[in-house]
Amino acid sequence: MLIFVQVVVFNEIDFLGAYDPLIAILFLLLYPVNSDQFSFLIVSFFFGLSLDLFLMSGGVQACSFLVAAFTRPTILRFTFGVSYDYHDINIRESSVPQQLNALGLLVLCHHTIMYSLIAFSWSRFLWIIERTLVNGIFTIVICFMLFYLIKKNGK
Amino acid sequence: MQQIINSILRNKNVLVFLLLFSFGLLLTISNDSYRKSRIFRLNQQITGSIFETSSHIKAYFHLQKTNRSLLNENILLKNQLASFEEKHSEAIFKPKKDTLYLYRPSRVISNSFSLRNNYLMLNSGENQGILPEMGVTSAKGIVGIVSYTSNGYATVISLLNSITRVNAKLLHTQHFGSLEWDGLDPSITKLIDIPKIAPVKEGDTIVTGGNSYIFPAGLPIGYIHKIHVPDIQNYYEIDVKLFNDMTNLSDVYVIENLDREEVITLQKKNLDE
Repeated sequence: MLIFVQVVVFNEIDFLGAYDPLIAILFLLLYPVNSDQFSFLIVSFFFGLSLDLFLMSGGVQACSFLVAAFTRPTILRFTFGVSYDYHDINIRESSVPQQLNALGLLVLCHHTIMYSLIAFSWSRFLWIIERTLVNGIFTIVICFMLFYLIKKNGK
Repeated sequence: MQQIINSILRNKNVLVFLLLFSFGLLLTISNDSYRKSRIFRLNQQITGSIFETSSHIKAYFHLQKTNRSLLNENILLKNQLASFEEKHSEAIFKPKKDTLYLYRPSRVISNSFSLRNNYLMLNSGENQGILPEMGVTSAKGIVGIVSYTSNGYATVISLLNSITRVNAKLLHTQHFGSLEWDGLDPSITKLIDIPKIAPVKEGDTIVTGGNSYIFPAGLPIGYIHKIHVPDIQNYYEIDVKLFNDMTNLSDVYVIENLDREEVITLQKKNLDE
């Protein structure tokens, strides 16, 4: 569903001519925290790969989702502290700064890998930074709005 | 042995990560080889049908804009026809055929422009007579070259792709060069190999050169945005602002060269010798 909405709706936004919010990243945030990391890595990789098939981008999204999924435990431990180790967290019910922190770090991690693979050259370092920051902020804003919409409907 | 198995099990997350990452990296690097595969043809059929549905919905919301664009195109074509008739009415030598190129209408159902190597997908394929290495243009200017086709869809290598090279020339001086994209701005491409003796100025129009069987000569591409003069080389490096908005493409034409087979056979003969 997320992939379909991403491809059909959000990839058509073209903010400032080149930026599309990657709402599919909500998958990484909303995937159950207490699930097995091994299966999470595999599911994330194939989720990214399905997105690649639609966006005709080789394996860029597959790699980016995989790296973000791999770093998710570290990001969540950094955000929620020791509560994460006891699986005592619920992202939907956590505070706004915690949600923003987790989402922001996931987006940063995903976008850095994504734009590095797109550019595939260190000579375009500034381009990678600029794209990561601008599209990252755009993605965070849209994702956060959607996250609240999903949360409200869930209630 | 038991220790090795234990170690693998302990580090299974890292191992699966490395394995999948290598596979993903391989797909990214060999994106072009993947496009030649059978799986890609199947994928093209599935994603194509989804994109076509969404494209129908989008097209409905853009009807007014499309009508305006078609109206402008009609005016342009009528003017060209009038000037052509005037020019050839008293000509002694008539062209051997009415036309050397056949234009087939098609619609862009998927378009990428933020990657280094961008592709488009069209809603027509082999069933509609579309074949690889046919040119694709819109009313405003050229768009790309057909790369792979399935029965109902075609993938096009966009002008915004590192492997695209298009023969182009300055409209008013007939100096030829090669058009390529540096991967930065989707509205700007680079025209290289224009000799320094050519009189160029910002705003000059760039059109297709016609030195290939893909595009006929004189199709609009863009205008000169900025001229760079390298010290050591004898050629300009020109930034060309495209007439087309490559981020917003809808109705296009696929161009078939009717003498294509003849030209390819001749080229093969030259290579064999």
